[in-house]
Amino acid sequence: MKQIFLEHVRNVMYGGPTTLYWPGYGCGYLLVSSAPLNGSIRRLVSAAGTLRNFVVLRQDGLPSSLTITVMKNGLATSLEVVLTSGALSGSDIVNTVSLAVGDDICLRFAGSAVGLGHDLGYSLEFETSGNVSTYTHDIVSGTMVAGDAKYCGILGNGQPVSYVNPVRSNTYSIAAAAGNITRIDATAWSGAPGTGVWTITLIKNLVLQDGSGGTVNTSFTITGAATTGFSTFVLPVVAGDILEIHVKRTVSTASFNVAHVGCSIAFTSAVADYHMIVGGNNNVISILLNNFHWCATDQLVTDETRAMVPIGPTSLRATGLYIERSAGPAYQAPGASYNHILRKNAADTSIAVLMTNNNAGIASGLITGQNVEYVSGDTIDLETVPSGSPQTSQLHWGLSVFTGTPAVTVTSGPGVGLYFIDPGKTNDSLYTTISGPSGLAPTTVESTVKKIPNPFVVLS
Amino acid sequence: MRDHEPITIEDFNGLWRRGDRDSTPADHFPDCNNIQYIHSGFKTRDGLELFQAYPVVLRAYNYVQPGTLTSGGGITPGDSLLVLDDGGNIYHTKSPTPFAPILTIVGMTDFGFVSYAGRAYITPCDGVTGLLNEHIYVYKGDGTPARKAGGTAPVGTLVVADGAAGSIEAGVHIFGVVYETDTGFLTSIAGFVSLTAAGAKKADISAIPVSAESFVVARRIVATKFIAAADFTGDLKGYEFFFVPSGRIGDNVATTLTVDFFDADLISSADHLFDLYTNIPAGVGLATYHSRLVSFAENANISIARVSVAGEPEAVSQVDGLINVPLDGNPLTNAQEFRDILYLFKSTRTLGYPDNGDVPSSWEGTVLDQGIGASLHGIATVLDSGGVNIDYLIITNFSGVMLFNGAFNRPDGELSWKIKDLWDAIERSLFNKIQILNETISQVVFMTLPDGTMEIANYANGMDPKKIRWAPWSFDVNVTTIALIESNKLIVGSSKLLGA
Repeated sequence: MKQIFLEHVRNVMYGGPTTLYWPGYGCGYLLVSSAPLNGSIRRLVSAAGTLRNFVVLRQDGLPSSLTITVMKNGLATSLEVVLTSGALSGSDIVNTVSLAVGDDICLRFAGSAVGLGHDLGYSLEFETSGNVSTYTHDIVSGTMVAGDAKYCGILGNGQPVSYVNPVRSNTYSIAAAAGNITRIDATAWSGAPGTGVWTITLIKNLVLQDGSGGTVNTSFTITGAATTGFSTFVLPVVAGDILEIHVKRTVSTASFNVAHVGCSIAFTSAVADYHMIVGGNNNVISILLNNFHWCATDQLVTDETRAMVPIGPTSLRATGLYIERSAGPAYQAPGASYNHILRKNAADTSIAVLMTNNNAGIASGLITGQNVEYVSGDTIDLETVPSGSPQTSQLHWGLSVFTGTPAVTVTSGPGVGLYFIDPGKTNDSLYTTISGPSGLAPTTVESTVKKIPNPFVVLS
Repeated sequence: MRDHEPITIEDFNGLWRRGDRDSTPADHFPDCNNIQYIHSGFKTRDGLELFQAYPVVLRAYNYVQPGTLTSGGGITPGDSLLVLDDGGNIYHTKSPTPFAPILTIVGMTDFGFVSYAGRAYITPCDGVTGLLNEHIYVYKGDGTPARKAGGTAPVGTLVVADGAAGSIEAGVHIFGVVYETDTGFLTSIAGFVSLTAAGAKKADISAIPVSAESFVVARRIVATKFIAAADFTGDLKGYEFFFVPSGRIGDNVATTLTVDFFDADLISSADHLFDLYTNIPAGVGLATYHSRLVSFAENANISIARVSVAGEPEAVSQVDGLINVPLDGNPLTNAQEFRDILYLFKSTRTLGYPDNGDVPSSWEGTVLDQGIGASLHGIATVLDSGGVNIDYLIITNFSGVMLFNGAFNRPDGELSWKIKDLWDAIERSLFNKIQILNETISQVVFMTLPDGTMEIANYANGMDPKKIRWAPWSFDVNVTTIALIESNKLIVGSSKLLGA
């Protein structure tokens, strides 16, 4: 299947070095200048496949050129986009990069320092066999005293923090598609732990999946001379599940390092050609102004061009959106609400989740069964629309995405389908064309409005 | 009009189709198409609007899942629909991908359904019997495709050896393993191996099989009690097996486990697993009775009802998990729990089978009626599920729409008395197209008829054949199925434009 990495980079080429690095996919928060390239921006993949169709959209046509190169296992590849001076977009739809399980990728930005606040979005296609997609998280770093553990979301938006059980991390992930997680891969970028032990475990719905209490055992360790490890298992996931990765250090302290452990997972969707795009963190979100979001965008962005991400040659369809807020919008603000609208080319789509909850704690909402198609050249982002000064809260979201071939069209004759008796309606509305790609919402065309047959026979 | 004396109708009492047209009582009409009754009168029925754009709809059922709490402390209903199209595809309206089939079976033109523990059990059929060589399926309600209920036993042979100091008594013990699925089903026992225990040791088990099926979520070790070496015949399946305490492996990954037990700890027998179906043959319909799943009218066994172990809907014994209804050449058509008795119906037979606490094959049946039965979808579903309302069932059969309270009574229980001519004109072979629902809030019974129209009966004036008010409903579409969601929202499935 084709997984589309739709990513955002902020503050590209701020004043300073002229060569910087960013994760190839998954979450990153800082552009890194490093030689030799360290693991803080190298992201593992847990599926074999081919990278291609690299498309970049720049917020503003700066008077400087910028070359963005896909790096594999720390080395430059031929997959590269060159933005000439003043150009807003560029692409490489010719070159490809093959990846094996356990390989890592990142991006290299080479250009001129131009100052703060210049953002960029990109699309990168990753085609795997079967229905496997891969996800990762930001690196575990810092000092890890024996017994310390860190955790975060594993579906691309996670940034590790110290583990608190059983509480959602700041950057937990919401699954947006059903399927099975089947594998974790990890690399100890800070080197072989020797006597120390890294233990990596998935967390599902705040429960460590370590085999205890009937959970699936996803745990494995990296210790001694090893610098990598993996585990295989079958962990069922349904849309709406909370998924996090947990990395624990035991036996001996791991001294400070900017890159200790990075992980990736493999996910097999239950329905063919579905994968997820997931975001969310503890960013401040305006209670007064419309804000725009994507993975790793800045806080309080009111200029939508700073959140828009381009769609590459492979079209995709957004089919459902899961939203969680750390508190209901109407909590301590009666009548207030937040609307969460998926945007296409800076316009609203039908995918919107309006939340009016007054929960003191987690509040959630979702919309499913949608069929919003994005084609090459479109842009995508997420807008939050406050009303009535809602309660301040964090936003987490998961978007289900279909990239299959929407060639199968089911066309049914007039009048078929599932109707209901609509109280107060004075006529029968029949629909003549019901068609749509397999697995997605069909389109309907109301064909005729029929007067309800007269209740009495006219006697001649 | 000269000499015409107007007749004032104080109360209009609906359709009359009994006897000569001229004998229609003054407060009834021989034609009153498309009306619905209101408190003191009637009006044109409400109109149709599209609910969800599925292809040709043949059957729909309300599949109720747990509701969700709203911010205001209320509950959002968990209603959804399972919808069958003419391509043998079943869709779930609340699936994350509601237009991707959760099950596709070629030749499925109808299906039976029952909700159990939040899961949907589905049996593919053709409206007369279950499909040949097909099975009952289970759907978890989350959009993942339905799979055959049950599961295959493990493959392979365990390796067992004495371990560290423990409690296992000296002598022969036989060990085996079963798979546990994500729906709680325990497969047949396999992997048999004997251990001549030295005594006072634990048992180290290895080579525990791992299933290739993702729905296997755990394995359970079973074992026999001590067998004296002199008594051991070598038949590894010839002794009673028990679930070993702490013998559950909560994943489908690990291949080793150490167990420790006294014989006195072995109290939960696993012997019933020996005779289970790997997959349960498909019947024409499904019901529940005493927490058991009931399937009836298989293609090759039209008079057999399969009954599961209580609390284990997928555990059906091939040996004694069945009821063999007396053969008369006609298939079973329906099943319903009522007043603690399982009633099985054929088109013109009604039989009752009380649970005697023993295996289903031992249940003694009683023939209640040898002239009246029930049609396939002919026991009125009350609101979203179940059939019992105010201690009666409403049943359609060749004789009419009948009340059943443990017996069929005439004329007091013949609700269709006023429309007997209309009822008698229905082609007998098409009674499996009649589907009946009881909407108890507005006190209306809805029915589909084989000609693609509907008949409604308002019983607000009393569940009395003389007081019930009938009305035909017709549409420009061919109505094939109906369902109630959100208590009283009537869903209408259509297969084509009438006349198309």
